[in-house]
Amino acid sequence: MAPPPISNTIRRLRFDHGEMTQQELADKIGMTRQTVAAIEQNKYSPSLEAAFRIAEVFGVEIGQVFQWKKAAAE
Amino acid sequence: MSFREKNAWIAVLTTLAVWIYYFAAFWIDVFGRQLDGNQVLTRFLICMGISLVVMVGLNIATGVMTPKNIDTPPDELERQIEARADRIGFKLLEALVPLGLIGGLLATDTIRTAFPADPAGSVALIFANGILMAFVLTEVVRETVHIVSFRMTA
Repeated sequence: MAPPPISNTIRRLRFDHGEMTQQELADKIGMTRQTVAAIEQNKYSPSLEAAFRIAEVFGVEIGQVFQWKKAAAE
Repeated sequence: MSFREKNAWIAVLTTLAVWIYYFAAFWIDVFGRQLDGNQVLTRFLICMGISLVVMVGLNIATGVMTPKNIDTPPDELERQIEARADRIGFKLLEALVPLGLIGGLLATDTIRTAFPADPAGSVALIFANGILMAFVLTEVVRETVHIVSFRMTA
């Protein structure tokens, strides 16, 4: 199965927020650590609601967390 | 490995171990023309009991090791995986049950001839176990879909 044409900066954002662990992020958005890992590794595209929640945790716009890879999508 | 993936592994391994034994013993009896209703019922109850005790015991043990996961509702990825597994399982059951019933109806005369001592009882037993086998197979496939889906996102 091809990965979704979306990239993300969650790893970077976690690092910038005091090396927040995947488990800590998962607890804040009501998900399992495994799901956060899947999102971070681009193996699963989260719902719009989950994407907004992740952006809210880091205090950034959703576009700073998830980026549409135009070339891959075409 | 998530709590729900561990549950799926427990279900698949327990089901395979217990019900492969049960159905192997049953079909050996059928093909050996030694079908005894009481023996089959006893074996069924023992296998069901072992299956329940082992699955509940292992799931409790897994839950105790990671207590906060017990009450946590499934997240969106887990719900998606659950829905996919249910959909595939239901499609399989939809195919297996009619196949089993048609196959059973076509084989009724053969079964009656093979078990002259209790033709009606033997037909009923084989029918019931055929349907049970369809349900067990569906459950194994459903849980396997869980495991494969979890592994694909791990």
